[in-house]
Amino acid sequence: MGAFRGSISFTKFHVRGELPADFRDRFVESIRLRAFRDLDPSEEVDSRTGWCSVEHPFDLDLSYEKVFFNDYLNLGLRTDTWRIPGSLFKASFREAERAYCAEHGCEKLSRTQKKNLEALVMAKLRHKVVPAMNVVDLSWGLGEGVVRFFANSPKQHESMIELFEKTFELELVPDGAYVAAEKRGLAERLMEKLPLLEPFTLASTANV
Amino acid sequence: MDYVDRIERARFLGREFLVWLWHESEAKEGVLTLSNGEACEVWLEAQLTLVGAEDEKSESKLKSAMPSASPEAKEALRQGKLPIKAKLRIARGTQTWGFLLNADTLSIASVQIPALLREENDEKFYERMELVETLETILDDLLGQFLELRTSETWDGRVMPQLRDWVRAA
Repeated sequence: MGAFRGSISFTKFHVRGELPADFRDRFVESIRLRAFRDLDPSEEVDSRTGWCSVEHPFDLDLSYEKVFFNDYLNLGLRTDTWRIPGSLFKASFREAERAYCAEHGCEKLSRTQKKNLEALVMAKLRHKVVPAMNVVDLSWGLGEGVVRFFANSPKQHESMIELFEKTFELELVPDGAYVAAEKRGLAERLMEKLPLLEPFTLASTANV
Repeated sequence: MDYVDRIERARFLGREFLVWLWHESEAKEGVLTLSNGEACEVWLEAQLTLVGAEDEKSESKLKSAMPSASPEAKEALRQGKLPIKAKLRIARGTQTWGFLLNADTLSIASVQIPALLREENDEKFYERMELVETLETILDDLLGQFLELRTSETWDGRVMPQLRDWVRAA
């Protein structure tokens, strides 16, 4: 699902703030700085998020023509996560625990020993598995100041907003009735009334 | 109140917008007028989810060809529930869009766009975006009409009584 193909599902965000005069060159530079970097099994991080090409998630060399499509800025938000199956981890840990105890002549591991061994087992397993990859398309209509993010999960929104604001130094606000009213140019006196409105009910016991 | 607070505070209006749209669609036999005078057709179809204002867990999830026409749907409204998700179909001229609207975030999912004509990857993208933006323009127009009404004197004087009669009569 995304901007280029598949089913279309997205959440809209509005960009607040002015685009800098030389924004195209400047943005390419900042995107490249925050391009996705592969996870390294020896690192102690569980996941990493960064930008990739909207058309090819393995393409991390983000040049001008891969990012700008006329008046749109298109990117993929790639997140790789180590996902070690629970059963594999448990079995490997039990095996490592047995070997450790046999070697050190102990019956049970202390809390610290257990923690260290868990980290060691996890690091070993990471060399054997491939991280799970998730890619979500993002399309920024530069003229209209609207970002369409092709995922509707709040967790993915959070990580996109964080990376977007760091990369472009512009604020992103979620869409909603208030923004729609503002964009439509609802009269000032009506705009002032909006935050004061109370929800209505159609419950049959409500006052008529 | 800061900007994001104002957005959050007004979020309930998405649910009310869906009720208004549902009522308008039924009252006008699906034909609504956009601000520029153009006609568009709007139907609720296939899927409708309503939740209680006080108790979000009290949910009515209705699935049928026209769930909004079912007695259960109006009964849910009478119980004080409001729609949080609805499958809508909008047609303007020869183009038709189908999609699922989430009332709280105004996000849209599973959009069926009118048939694409272009085949090149980049061209396909521009065409998809053009069709999505057209759909958004129609939705924004309808939302704008609702908000103007909702903030006007007409709301309490005319629209609310109409909505109550509509729900009671079902």
